[in-house]
Amino acid sequence: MMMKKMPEKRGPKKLRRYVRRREAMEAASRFRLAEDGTRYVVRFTTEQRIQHWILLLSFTTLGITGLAQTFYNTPLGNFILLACGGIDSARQIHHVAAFIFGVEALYHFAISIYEMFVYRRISRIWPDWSDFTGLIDMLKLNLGLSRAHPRFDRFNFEEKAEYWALIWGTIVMGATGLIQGFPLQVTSVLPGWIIPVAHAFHRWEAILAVLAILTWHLYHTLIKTRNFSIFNGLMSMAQMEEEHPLELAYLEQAALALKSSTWPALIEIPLGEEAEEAAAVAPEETGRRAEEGSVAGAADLPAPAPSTENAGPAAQEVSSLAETAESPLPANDEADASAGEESPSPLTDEGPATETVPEGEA
Amino acid sequence: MKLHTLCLFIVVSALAALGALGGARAHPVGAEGVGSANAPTATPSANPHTDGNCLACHSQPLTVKYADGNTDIISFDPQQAVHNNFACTVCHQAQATYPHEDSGNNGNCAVCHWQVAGNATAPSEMVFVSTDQDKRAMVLDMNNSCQKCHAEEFTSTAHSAHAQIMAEGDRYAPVCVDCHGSHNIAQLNGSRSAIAKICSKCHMAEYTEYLSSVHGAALYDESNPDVPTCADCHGTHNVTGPSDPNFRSDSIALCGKCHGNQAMMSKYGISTDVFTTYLDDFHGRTVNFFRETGEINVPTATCYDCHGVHNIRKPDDPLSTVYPTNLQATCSKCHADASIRFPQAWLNHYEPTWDRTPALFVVNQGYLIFVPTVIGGFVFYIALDARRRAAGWLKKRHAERPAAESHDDEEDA
Repeated sequence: MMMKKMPEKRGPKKLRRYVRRREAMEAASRFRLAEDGTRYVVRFTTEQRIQHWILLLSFTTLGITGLAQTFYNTPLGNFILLACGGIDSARQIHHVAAFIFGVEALYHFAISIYEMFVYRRISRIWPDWSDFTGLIDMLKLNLGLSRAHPRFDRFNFEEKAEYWALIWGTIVMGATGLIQGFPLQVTSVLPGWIIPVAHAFHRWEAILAVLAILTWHLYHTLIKTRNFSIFNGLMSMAQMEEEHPLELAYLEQAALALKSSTWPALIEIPLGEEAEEAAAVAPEETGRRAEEGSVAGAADLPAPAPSTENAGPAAQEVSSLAETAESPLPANDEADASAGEESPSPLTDEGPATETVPEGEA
Repeated sequence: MKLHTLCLFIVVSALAALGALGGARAHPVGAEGVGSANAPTATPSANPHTDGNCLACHSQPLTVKYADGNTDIISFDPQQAVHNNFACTVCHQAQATYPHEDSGNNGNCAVCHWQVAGNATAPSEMVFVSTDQDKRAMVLDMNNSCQKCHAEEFTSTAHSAHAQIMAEGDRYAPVCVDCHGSHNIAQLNGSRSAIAKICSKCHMAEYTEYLSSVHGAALYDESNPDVPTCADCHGTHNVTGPSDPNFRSDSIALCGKCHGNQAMMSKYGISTDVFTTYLDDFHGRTVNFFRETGEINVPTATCYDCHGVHNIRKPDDPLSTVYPTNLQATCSKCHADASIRFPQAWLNHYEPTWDRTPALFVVNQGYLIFVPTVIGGFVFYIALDARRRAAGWLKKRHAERPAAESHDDEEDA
């Protein structure tokens, strides 16, 4: 899901954007049809879900055994330490969990670097201007200043805040934890006051991290909604429409673009409330590669051929799935509506919604 | 009260018993005729064979021969002692009769007198035979009589380090009389310096160190009432030491008893932070947890690992183990290869302040603001969000109940 977006010309209601064939196939491959007819979108891959499990277990272990050491003289802390088999055992458990957490963090870093520089996929988790507008819009909504719910893309600012807080916390906790773990080696090159400072960082940051998880993360995933996509990988279409409508719209349009024969294909993503009625798709046949041509991978280009050529059998199956299941794909009858021209007309009273889309990205 | 009754009973009963036997003792050495005919009929001051007159013989040096063949000269030298008004037989119960019961030869005069010298006219010229193996056996035997009156103190020694080495076979491990004396038992109350001197009889090396320490010097130079003497740390009758597995972990409470006492420490300008900061730190937390859970053989540093044991000195004393230039060596006792910077990791028992540890101070103060701000922001946002959702939910529910009319304003569902 690249973010190569065309600069919006004037119509604020649709976002025109080129997708490469690989992206279109990936988008199509993310739709699932359950046996009971429920339609889902794959939100997290198995590998990402495993990462989250490792993170969940090691973080919980670290938090419990760590805070128990900090608050060792409280009944609960004392109980936990005893349950661990003593303060030394608790420390050993803490260190093992820290090692697992560290390996997972390094893996995540490596895979992110790989995705970014080898696979040339810009993660959608990077903050952008839409996060700021999203926050403002949510505050306006929650304060009663507006009635329009902002429409979020793959990750909303709440999720991005969670992620980057985790990254920050991992760096701080990892560094200060290692400093405390090897005080002799550290002080052989650095001044000694590093150690208590690292200890203070470690303690405070742990409190902050655990409180952030308990408040921010659990509220947004378990209380205000029940989002289990990180565990089963799936999010229902209804929930997608509610929580990540822009991503859903993109996926639908990008999947439809598979019918195109020219790549990259221009798709048009409905941004506002009219997304439901104006499910117009424009797999525009213009083969313009425009200014992103240099970035696009060469593998995307020989697209006109059947999809089996540049994608493995899995991708072929997925793309066929996307077409046979057809579930996510709106009718393509009005697909010939060309991009951008008819968009200004159905401007309804839901004006604010259009402001929330990430159109104004830097 | 009870004690006097007991003594009186013993004395009276002993008198009665001896009186009954008086006739038989008129000629104690006669019949057997061992040695010679000139038995010690002439006693110095009184007939030794009547009771209640112990000093008649025992004020003179008497030669006693133990079972192992060694001889010893014993005599009772009357001194000012707390037991002065007790009869000898209160303690020497086995000797309440004469010949003494523990001689093991009741009625057999020859056993004592077999080697009375030819012209011996005084007990000092006789050699008395004891059934005890040696003098120490006699002392240990006699020591048991202390428990008749001092049962509590006596039993409290049972688990002491001294009793332990006794049980391990060291017969010279101290018992009551070794510290308190036997005939010259004195009150130690109020004389704390005397306690250390008593201990020094065996623990001279520790005593010497102690004299040079901040505690010992204050005790002997200033008669300071607050500094600990041996017994304050090691206990009195239930003497413990490093051989006690709990001694290490309990030692922090020992030091904390005084050094956590605000009233006492303020007299000397010592901060009680030393105790609380220790407990806040890695070492203290570990040791304290071990202490509370009863784990033994704590490997983590306690107070005395850094400050020394008997040689504790002021931190600004160049001989102190925690004097800045000595710190690296002190840390290296546990942290081998500790660099010169390693001791800087320790805050010297000071709470972090801007003056001493600016970086740590800033971190703590920063987080003190940062954490509530961030979490407060989170909670604020969540509260707003939850309020709106709850309101929407209630509105929807309210709207559905009276009429099946549904609203169209549930953008947040």
